[in-house]
Amino acid sequence: MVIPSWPLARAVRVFAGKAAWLSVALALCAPVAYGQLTPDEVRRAAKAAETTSGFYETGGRRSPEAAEAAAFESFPAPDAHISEANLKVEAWHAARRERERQAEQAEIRSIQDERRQAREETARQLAAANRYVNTVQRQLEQAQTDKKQAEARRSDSTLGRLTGQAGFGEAAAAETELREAEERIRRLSGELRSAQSRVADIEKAGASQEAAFDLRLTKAESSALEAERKRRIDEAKTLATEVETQREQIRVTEEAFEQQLATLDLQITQARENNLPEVVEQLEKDRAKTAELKATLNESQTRTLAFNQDRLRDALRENTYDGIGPGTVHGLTRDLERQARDSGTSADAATNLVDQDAVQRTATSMPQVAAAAPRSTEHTSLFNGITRESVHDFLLDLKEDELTWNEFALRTGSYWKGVGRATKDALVDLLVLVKEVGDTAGETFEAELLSRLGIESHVFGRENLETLKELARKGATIVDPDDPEGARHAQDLVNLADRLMTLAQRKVEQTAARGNTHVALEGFGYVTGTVLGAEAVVIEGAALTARATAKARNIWRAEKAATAADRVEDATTAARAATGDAPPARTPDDLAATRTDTPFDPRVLTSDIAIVRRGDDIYLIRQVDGAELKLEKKIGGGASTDVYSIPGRDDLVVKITKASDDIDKFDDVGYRALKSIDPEGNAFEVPTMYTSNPVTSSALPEYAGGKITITDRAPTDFKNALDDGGVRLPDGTVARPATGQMTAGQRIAFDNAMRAINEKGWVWFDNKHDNYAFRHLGGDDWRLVILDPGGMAPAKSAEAARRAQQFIDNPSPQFRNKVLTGTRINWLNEMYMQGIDDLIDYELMSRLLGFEVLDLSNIPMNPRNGSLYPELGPLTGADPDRLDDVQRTMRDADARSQGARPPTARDLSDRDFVGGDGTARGPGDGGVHSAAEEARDVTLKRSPTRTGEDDAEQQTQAAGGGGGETQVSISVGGGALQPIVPMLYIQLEPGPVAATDLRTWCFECQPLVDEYAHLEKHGADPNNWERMLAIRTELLPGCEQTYCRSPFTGLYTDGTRVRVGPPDDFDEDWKIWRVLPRFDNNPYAALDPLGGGTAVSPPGGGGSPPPPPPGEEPPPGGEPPPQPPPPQPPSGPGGSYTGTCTATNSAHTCCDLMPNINLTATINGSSLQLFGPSPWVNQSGTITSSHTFMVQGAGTVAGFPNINVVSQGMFVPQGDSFRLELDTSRGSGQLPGGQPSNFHCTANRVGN
Amino acid sequence: MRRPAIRALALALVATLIVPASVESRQFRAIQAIPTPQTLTRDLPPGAVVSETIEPIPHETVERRMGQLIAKWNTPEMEETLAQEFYDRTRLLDTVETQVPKDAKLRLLGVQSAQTLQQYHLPGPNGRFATQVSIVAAVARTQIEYSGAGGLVRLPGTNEFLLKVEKTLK
Repeated sequence: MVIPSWPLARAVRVFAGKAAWLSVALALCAPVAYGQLTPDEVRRAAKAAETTSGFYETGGRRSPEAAEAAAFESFPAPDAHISEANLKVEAWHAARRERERQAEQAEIRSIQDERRQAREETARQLAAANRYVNTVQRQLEQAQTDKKQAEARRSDSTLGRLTGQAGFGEAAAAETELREAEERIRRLSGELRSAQSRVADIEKAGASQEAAFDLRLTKAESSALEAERKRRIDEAKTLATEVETQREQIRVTEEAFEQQLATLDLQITQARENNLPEVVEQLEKDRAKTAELKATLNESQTRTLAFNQDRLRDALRENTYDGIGPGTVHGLTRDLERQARDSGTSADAATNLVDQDAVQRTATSMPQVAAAAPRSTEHTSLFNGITRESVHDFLLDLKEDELTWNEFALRTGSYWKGVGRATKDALVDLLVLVKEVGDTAGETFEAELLSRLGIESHVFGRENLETLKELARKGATIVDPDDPEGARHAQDLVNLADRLMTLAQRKVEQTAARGNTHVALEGFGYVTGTVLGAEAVVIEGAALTARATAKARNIWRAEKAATAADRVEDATTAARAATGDAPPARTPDDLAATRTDTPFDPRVLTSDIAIVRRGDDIYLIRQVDGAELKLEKKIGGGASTDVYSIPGRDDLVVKITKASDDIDKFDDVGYRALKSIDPEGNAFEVPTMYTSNPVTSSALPEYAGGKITITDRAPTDFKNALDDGGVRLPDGTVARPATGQMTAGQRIAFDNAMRAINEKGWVWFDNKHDNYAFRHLGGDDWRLVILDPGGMAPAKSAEAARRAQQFIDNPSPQFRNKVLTGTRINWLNEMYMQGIDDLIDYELMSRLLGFEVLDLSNIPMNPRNGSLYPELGPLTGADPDRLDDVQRTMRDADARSQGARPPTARDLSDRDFVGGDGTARGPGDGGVHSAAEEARDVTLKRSPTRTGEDDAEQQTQAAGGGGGETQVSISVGGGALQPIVPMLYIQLEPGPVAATDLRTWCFECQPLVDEYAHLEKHGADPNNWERMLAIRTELLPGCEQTYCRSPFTGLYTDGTRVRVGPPDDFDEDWKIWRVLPRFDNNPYAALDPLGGGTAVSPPGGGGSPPPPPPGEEPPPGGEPPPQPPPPQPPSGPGGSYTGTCTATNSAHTCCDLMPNINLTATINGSSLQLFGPSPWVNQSGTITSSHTFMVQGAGTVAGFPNINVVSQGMFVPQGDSFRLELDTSRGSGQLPGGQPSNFHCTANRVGN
Repeated sequence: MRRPAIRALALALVATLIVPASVESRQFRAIQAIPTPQTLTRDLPPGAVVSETIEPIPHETVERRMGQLIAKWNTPEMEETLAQEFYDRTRLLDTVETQVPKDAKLRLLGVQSAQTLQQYHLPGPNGRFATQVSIVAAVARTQIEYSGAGGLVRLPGTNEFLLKVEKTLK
């Protein structure tokens, strides 16, 4: 018999077991019951179940309500007992729903209560923090008042002393008061900053807390949750639709262009066959332009697609994080299918995420665009010719609400007027292109503006873009300047352009002052190449219009006049190109493709310089006349600047500063200050800056928006002087001794320069060794050359300037340690603490820079020079009266150790490294080691001994000879820096490679390490080379230099190991990996950690054995001597306890305050409860027989609700009572920062 | 001639089937190879590069660290002392939690021998070697102590601990 496989029949059959007859009977009945579905129900089910799987998933019933309604309509009235049962079931469901509703309401109330508590707690903390701020503020104001009064008293007493009306005592007292007031101001300023920061933290935490409560409330209330889920599904669907539609649009665009290209190919073939070479040539040009436009279009569409994908991904990720709505595209599809089934609509239609209308529009218009491509690409050249300023202006214009679509349209019209009648057809094509590309790219741009700058603009959109063609028609009215209507429009355009440009100029300044240039440029960069290209053309057209009406000079403001004029000139050229009156505009690409043999004098660089690349060469092109300047070689640079040499001009260099307006301004201010301090260049030199102009376009993206400066060529900076093998001067002198330290003459030159700067009330904070060089004046006489004038700051007085300079050039051990090994924050804090911040005149500095500078952190600096060169200390700290003596002593000492001459290149190999014969020269060998440089020389043979036992000193003895072998010399030590910075000098035969140290390694560190790795690998010992690669390279925050250090203690592991790294730089994590039992009682056996082995109990039992000393075996037999029973503790520790808690970590000391607590401990059997008033969080757990416990609970901590708290401790017998000792850990992983708030609490029992 | 041979073969088959079964039924213990550098090499994580020259960890360091690890036995911190690869890690923690008396402590009586069996390097995010991992074998005498019904109970044992030491740049 064939048994039908309907679900009901199958279920009944299974239920009936072996009663085959029953299953057969029921199976026969099943189709009858199934067949009683109403026609309406069947129709709905069939409609819903368009997919086979969907049908079976729902059993054909997509809408339960519909099915039930239909059932009621079609079935006869049920019997009374069935009705009764139905009523009971309904009542039960109603009761259940009511219970659920009440539970939901209770949950909501609970959350609202928690929210209220959290708000109260936040408000309380905020009030306390604000009170503290106010208190400190008042104290600070009082201190400032005291200071003024003290200053007045000092002035009075000075005057009184002169007139004989006051004694010295009064002046001294006033001076003391003044110092005290200044000290208080310094301390209170720090406290105020800290307190204000704390207020900000609390506010931030409060906002975060509110958002979390909103989410919890939404999730707790079923209707709100459902609405939110639906909203998120709709949102995800919209985003997914954009992605899928864009994919489809890309496909149809590709097809349209491929079709057009195939048509052109066919025409080319036919023309060839007909022997029409001119036609072939023209068609091939058309084909190339079409292919170019296709690539451009595809790139923009792909970029838009990627952006849409990012938005979709972000939305899904947020859903996952919040636990509401679809978290994946697959989940979205499931949700959409479910929605469709519930509503009885087609699941396939619901999950079809392609906007067919949009695709159809693209499919219709793209063939037109492709066909017009040869004409459109005439404008593509204009796209390439857009300038940074024009697009930047446009970006800034969009920030203003006043820029409406109509204004944009007017500007488009102005473009039309500007380029003339002949471009009309091309413009129409352009507008079609804008329509297709701008439809999505423009909206993308808006989204980008909104997300990055918080600017809402509504420029783009399909309905607006539909008006473009209409605009093109209206534009015809202003084509003719003689037409009165056209003249009126032109005048309006001029007025508009005037307003926009003024606005843009102001916005540029504001944006730069806020340091948002990068953000703006990032948004700009994202859309460059898409619709913005067209917008830029529009702006240039506006400029042209303005010029055509002879009002350009009224439009542009002073600083922009020159650049604007050039831009207008460009637009004119472009317009003429479009009408065939003039050669086409020269774009960077065009310029790169052409060569002119007319180099120009770099000193007369004008504005509008383009940077192009031809092969590996970089050229500067003056766009006015096409004259060019080749940059020869990159000879230096830093994070923000690159320096190039110029062929045939040894006296000049080109400095290209990357886009950063703030750095530019610091450089400018520093340059002007230094030039005014010492215009004659007696104490120091600053390379003269001849011209400085913005980069208007660049083929190298890193220079876009930057600045080109032509300056005098300076000597190689001090840092790199040695790395170049020692810059050899004509007399054989090297600019930097091989020791890496300064000569006496260089120290004196540096100090003289700093004193000259300080005398004028300025401080040079950024005096690191790659920012200066020394010019040789003969013998050991030098002059400081300041290469990078940024980092100059005006002080409040000459004395203040000197004090700040001394602080960094003659550093304290604390500052030196922080500046060499710590982060930027570390050493900045040290400077704040020592009051350096108070010495700077920020008001003057802000005025000079044009934007506000608040504290030291705003000044670009790396004040480590004095820490790197401690030999500067005696000079820097010298009193002016003793300066000559100190200088003389220094020169004498240096002359004694150098043989009365500066170190030479020969010294380099003689002094610190192994000579060509492979012989190490140690202390006393030729007298080249000074007392200050007691370096321990270690010579390592390339043929390792592999003993693995030798220490550094032993190796020195063992590896002294070895002529003919490759020799490596390492000098460990390094003069005064040795305690902090162990130095490591390395030389490979035949010449010096580099010298560096472990802590301040720089760019050459990694090549050096690689070199050693290579030698290790291919040399005598190939087994240990990987240790060499175990050196990590990282970029320190706020530091331009690469920082390298070895993660292990030895740089070498070939048996001649040298210990050069501090071992405390590592984290060691020990874990038990496995335990292999040798005998019984394996405490780590998973099944039976007590082992079931032999238990050994002392006679009489009880007590604990004497703990044997670590490592010592227990006495033979394993039986410790019997111990007297321990003293009996007092009876139970229950009761109330009061005590105090002390924070044991500083993660949340700001906000989690538990200074005094009143705890109550309740012990019931082994159950323990600890409770008390807020901020204590009640906890419960079990207590052991030895009165130790670990209890836990949850509550509000530091304003954050539902935080887990764990306490561990014990009740310590104390006389006939107990003392409570516990460690409590609050909110591990739940509080901001992830760190718990830990306290140790001690409490005594009340009543004892 | 053939029949005795068949009988002998049948007996041998029966014997081979019975004997191991009886052995295995007594205790379900897996064969554990004696850890050596060679056997350990098979368990290396991906990307690890073995150092052929081992830098041994001093005995006193092992002893000190062992003492710290063992002191956390039967405490909430015990979980932190076990490597993620520890066999039956979760079950051990559950068993200790439920079966071991709350006041039971494990005392380290002495470390008899300690040997660094293996060292290898693991690459960091930038592809360079950033972490040094050492496997150390230590034979240690331990003693479990707790208060039983008849007084203090002591369970001494000698076991071989394999310790995993990860040394990472701070």
